[in-house]
Amino acid sequence: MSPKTRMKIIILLLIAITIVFKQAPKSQACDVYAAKRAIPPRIFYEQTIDGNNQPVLITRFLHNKIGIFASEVAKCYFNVIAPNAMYAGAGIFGVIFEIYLAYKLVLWKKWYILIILLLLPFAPFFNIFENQIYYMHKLFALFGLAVFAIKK
Amino acid sequence: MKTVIANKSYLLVAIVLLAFFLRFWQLGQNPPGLYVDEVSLGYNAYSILKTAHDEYGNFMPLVFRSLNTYNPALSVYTLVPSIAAFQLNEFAVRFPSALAGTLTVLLTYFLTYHLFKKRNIAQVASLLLAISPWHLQFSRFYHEVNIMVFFSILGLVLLFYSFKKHYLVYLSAISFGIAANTFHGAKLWIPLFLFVILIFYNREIFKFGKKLIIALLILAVFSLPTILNFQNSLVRPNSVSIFKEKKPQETFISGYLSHFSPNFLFMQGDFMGRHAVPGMGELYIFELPLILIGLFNLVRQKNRTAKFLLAWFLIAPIPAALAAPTPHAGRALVFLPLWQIIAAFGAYSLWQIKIAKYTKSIALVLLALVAIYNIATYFHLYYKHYSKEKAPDWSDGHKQMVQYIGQVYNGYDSIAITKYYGYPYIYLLFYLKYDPVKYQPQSENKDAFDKFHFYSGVLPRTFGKTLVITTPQPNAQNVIKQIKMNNGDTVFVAQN
Repeated sequence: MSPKTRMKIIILLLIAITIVFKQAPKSQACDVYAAKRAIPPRIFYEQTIDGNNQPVLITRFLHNKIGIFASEVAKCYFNVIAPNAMYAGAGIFGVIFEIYLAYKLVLWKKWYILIILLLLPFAPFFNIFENQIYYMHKLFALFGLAVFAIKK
Repeated sequence: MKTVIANKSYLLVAIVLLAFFLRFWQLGQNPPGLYVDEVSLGYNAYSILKTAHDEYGNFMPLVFRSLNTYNPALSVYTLVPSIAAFQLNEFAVRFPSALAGTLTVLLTYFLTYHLFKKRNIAQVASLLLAISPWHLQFSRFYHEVNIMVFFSILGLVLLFYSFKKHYLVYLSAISFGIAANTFHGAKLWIPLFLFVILIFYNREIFKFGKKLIIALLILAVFSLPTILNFQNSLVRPNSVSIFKEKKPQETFISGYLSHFSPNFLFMQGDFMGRHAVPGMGELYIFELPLILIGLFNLVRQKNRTAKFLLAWFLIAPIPAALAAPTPHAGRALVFLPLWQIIAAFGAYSLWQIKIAKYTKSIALVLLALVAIYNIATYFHLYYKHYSKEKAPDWSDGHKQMVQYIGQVYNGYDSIAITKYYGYPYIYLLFYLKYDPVKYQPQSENKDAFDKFHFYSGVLPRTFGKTLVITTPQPNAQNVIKQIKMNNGDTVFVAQN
């Protein structure tokens, strides 16, 4: 093994260590129950602002249960996949290598793996892996690092 | 006109007209009331117009002292022609920003066309900016950052066109110079942006020869106001800087990344009431797939345009991340019109994908349906909800308070006004169109002028018959008038 390769391996190992040992925070409660609970007060609030003069059809079209529930689900999902969540779970190198992994999966058209990767953040929404979600970021970041190491 | 139709530019004309309409319609009424910074800049511009001195009596200052801080000069000077034309009112204060916003839409077309040489990408990018919640929000009130974005994009477009017509480089340097004097964040953003431009376009830029030296001299001249007033220029940046924090590097990284948060971009926007409409992100959710496709294709392309746009994408949150709080839609406005350009490129890439026509049509119809719902929701929220929900963020009620004082002014010997909401003196100066010649000699005393006294906590010693303007209190006595915001909530009460 050449000194250059040895150096590369050491750097990659150091990066892996920073990813693994990044202290993960506790995840916030953001689940299906919270999303359901948000619906009635939101509808009441929006309807109060719209007032009685507005046609009911418009109010129902713009402020409805499905729309509010979908926006709550999206907020929970985006909370989990946000770059800041990646940073909290796996550090700055984690952010870089998770994005790198996603890019490579699209490039190689590995759609099934990508779909799994994209669906997993829904798990905490159904109270599955609630507290393990930050470890998922570590895992994906390490996969990304491994892909990078193999490629380079 | 014939050329316009022949070049199919009528679409661009329609987009610019749409941008104009969306930025100017009900400009004086929505947002509901002028925020204190707008009032301060507006009155200083009025003072300059009438006396060539600012509120403190300084002759044509290069840095404006305003509300315990110092603002770059052009934040005030850009308002002077507008106030001269439309008088001192809400519309006049917001006019330059709305105009700059409209023109930025036009510039986005030229910028995108230069980058991709595709008319349809340029049209989509300018259309997306015309209806952008982020850009509309900042074009519909006077925030210097919107003026900075306009001048920096103008500078960039002129620079690109100067590669063929070299003399345009002077105008480009002037534009960047003006941009650097509009907003605090510009002192960091403009050099950073110019550095990135230089990295990717150095071949063309170094061909300017002597013209480049003159352009640099122009930029140096425009940096003089900051250099000559260095200490004062640092007051505001120091007050929001992250370097006071315990772990500034961690704060910087999380602040930087927060500007890429999907919740900030597509769901909730900036939490500051003046910066976003509640229930909306800074961008439309239907732009998300287009942005992802656009980004993916930019990374894959690896040509100079792609590299330049990606570098811009990576440096845009830096000025915002160096300050608190984050994410900040205002300081990160330098992201525009980049998001729209990427989304337009994404839409073009999507169109180019070789899949069955049937599948493509279904995907486009679905995207169009989401877009229509998204856009309709935004305009409903902006015009129906925003002025009611966020009235306090716009200091709504101050105008009504001053109008009431104007009616009863002659019936009182002194008028005491609470400082609970901040700076009532500047609202009185603005809405009473108080003569700057009379105000300037007594401007250092911010606790009183004319027959007005401003207090926080304990009532000041006044003389004669006094009108007290205070906040609503339970069981308050001698209330002669309740002053309400447009949403019906009481914000001040007048007591004898």
